[in-house]
Amino acid sequence: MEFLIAPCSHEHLLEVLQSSVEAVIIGDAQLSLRLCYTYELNELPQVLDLIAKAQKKAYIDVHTMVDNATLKQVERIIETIKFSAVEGIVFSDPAVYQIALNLGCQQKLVLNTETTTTNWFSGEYWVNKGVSHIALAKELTADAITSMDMQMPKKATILEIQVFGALNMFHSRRNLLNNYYNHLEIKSGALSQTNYLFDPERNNHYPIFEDASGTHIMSPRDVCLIDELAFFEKMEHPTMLKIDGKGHDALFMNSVISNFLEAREMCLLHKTEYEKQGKAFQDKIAKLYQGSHRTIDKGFFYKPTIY
Amino acid sequence: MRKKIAEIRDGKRVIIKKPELLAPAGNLEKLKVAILYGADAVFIGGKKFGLRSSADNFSIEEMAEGVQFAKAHNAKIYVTTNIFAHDEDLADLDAYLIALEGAGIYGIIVADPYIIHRCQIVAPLVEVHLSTQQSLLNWQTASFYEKEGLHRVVLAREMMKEEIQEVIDKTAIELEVFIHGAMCIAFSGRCTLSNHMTSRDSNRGGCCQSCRWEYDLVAESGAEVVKTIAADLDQFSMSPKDLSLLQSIPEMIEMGIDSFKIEGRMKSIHYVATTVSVYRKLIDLYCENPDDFVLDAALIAELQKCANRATAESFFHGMPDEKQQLFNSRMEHPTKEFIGITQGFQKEKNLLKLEQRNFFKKGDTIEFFGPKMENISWKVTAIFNAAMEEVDAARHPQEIVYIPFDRELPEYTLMRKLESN
Repeated sequence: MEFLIAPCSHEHLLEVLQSSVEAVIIGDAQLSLRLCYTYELNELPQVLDLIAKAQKKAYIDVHTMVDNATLKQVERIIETIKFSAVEGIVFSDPAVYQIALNLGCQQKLVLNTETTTTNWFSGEYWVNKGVSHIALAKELTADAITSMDMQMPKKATILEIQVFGALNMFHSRRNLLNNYYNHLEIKSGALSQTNYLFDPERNNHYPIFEDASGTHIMSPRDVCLIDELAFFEKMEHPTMLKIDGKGHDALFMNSVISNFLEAREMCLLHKTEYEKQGKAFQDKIAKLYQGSHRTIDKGFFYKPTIY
Repeated sequence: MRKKIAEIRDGKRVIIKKPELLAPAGNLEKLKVAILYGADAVFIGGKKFGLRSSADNFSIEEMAEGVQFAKAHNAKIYVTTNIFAHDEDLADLDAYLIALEGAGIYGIIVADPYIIHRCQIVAPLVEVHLSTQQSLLNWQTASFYEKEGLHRVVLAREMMKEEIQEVIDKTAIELEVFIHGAMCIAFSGRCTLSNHMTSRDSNRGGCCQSCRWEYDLVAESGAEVVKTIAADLDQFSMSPKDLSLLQSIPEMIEMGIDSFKIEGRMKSIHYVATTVSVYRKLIDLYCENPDDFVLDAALIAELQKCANRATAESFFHGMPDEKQQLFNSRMEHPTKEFIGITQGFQKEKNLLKLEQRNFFKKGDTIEFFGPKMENISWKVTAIFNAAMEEVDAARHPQEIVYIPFDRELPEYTLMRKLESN
C-alpha cells in the first residue's frame, strides 16, 4: 500500500520529498492531464534527479489524449527521460506505449485511461504487453475492485486507485467555457476564476475549467477513502493509492498527506485501533474544508450504477 | 498501401473507390428501410453488450433474418458490442459472439479489449472494428490496432480533416468516419457525468445525456459560490449541434475514407430513410462525375425534412466554436412530419394502402419519398379505413387506410405531410 502524490507546486514537491510517501507524479503541461503543477520539458531531468536523491519513485504523466501533432512531443519527452530514474511512464493512449517501445525505453509503463479499465481482462491485456501498473477506472465500486483484484492472475501487477481528491468526470476537446462567453458576447475574464456547473436538482457544484487539452469537469466533492485503507491492505495485488491535490494549496495537502500517513501506519500496525478510528480520520479531513463550500465523499466506492 | 480512388474512363475522371454508406437501424423494419434506401451496410444492437440499452435491439433470430435480407441486397450487418464491460458482464460473452457468427453477422463494433480478444478466438469469421468509444485520434494508435489484428477503426469525432488524412496516409487499416447525427460533447468513453448525476453508467449503455441539460455557471467567491451570469441570459449548455458533413462529402470521398457512418439507432424510420437516401444520391452523383459535380440545394433541403436539431460540421474543418453548440434552443421536431408508410396498391381501384404513423386528414398535401424514385407531392382527396368506409382523417397509430392514387409505389415508400388543410 504505497502513496502517490501529485504535488501542488515545486516547493510542495520538495516538502513531499521529505515525507514518508513513496511516490510522486509530475509532468509537462502538454502531455499530462489535470496536474496541479507542471514543468517545462527541459526541467524534468533535474526534477527527476531531486526525486531520485530523495529515494522516492517518480512517475511521469503522459496520459493526455494524443492527436497526431502530439506524437512528436511524446517522442521528445520519452527521449528526454529515458535514461533518468523514472519509476513509470503513465499513458492512456496506445500511441505512447508504442512510441516507448519503438524508442527502446526501458522504464515501466503505467496504464491510466481514467474510465475504461473496468474489468480484469482489460487490465491483464496490458499486463501481457509488459505494463506493470494499472490505474483502475474511477467509477468502480469496492465490489468491482475486489473482483478485478481476485481475477487478475499476475499478482505482481500494481493496481492504482485514487483515494483522495477531485475525480475527473468529463473531458472535451472543445473550449466550452470560452464558447459560452462568446455566445453571450461578454468578456471571458471570469475564466480566470474557479467556475462551477450548478445542478440545482441535486445541489451539486461541479468545478469546470479549460486548459490546452480542452474542457474538464471534476466531481462536486473530493473523494476521500482514508477510512477504507484496510480494504486496500487486504488486496492480493500491491496497491498505489493516489492523493491528488487539484484545487488545493500545499498547506492543505500537507495536512491531508500527514493524516493519510498516520492512518496507514495505524492500519498496518494497530488494525483494531484503526477500525475504531477510521471515521475520526475522515472527520479530520472533513474539518480541513471548514469555510469552504466543498467537502468530501466516497466517490463511486459505494455507488453502483445501472444501465 | 491505400487503394486508388479515381481513374479516367472515356476521358472522364470517375471515382472507383466508393465509400461504404453505413446506416443505423434500431429494429428490423429500419434495417430493411436503410438497405432499400441505399445503405451498403447497417449497424444494429443486440440484446447485450451494446451502448443503447433502451433501444429495441435485435434478438439473434432477428439478426439472422436481417442478415438474409441484407445478403439479398449485397449489404452487410455489423453489431455494436461497444460497452466497457465490468467483470459481472462477461459471463455470456463467448456464447453471444458465437451466435453472432452463426447468424452471419459481418463484423462487431467494439471498444473493450476483452470483447476484441474473445471475438478473435471464438468467432474468427467476424470482423473486429474498433468503436469510437476508444476515442482514437492519431495514426500511431490506428497502426497499433492494425497490428492487433483489427479490420477497421472508427475515428474519434474530434478529428479534423488534416488529422484524418494523416491516418489515411500512414496506415492501411480501414477507416470509418461519422458523417451525420448526434454527437457526444466529451471524448467518447471518458465521461462519467451520467454515472455521477443519475447512477446510470454511460459506458454500459445507460447514459442519461446530462451533458444536454442546462446549468447555471457560477463562480467561487471565498467560501461561497455565487452566480456569475445574470438570470436573464442563456444558461450554460454543453449540447452540440448534430453533425452533418453533407457539404464535405466530395472532399471526404477524395480523401479515401472507407466508410461513412450515420449515427442514430434510436432515431425514427423517417430519419433513417431520409438520411440514407440523401447521402446515397450524393455519393453516387459525385462518384459518377466528380469534376463537374455541383451540390444540388434540393439535397440539403431534403435532409432538413428529418432534422431534429440544428446541424454543424463539428471538428472536420477546425475547432468548433460557439456557433456549433445549442444554447437555449431545444426544438427537436422534424421540419416535415412523417405520417405513413406504403403497404401495397389496389390497381383496379387506384387505391394506395398505407400504415398510418401520424395523424393526417383529407385535404392535406403530402409527399411520397422512397428508394430510387423522385419525391411525389400529392393532395389527399379521400381516406378509407380498412373496411373501405370513407373517413375524414387517419387518426390511429399503425391504422391501415387507403387513399386514391395513380400508381404503384416501391415497398417501404414513406409519406410526409407538407401542408395541413
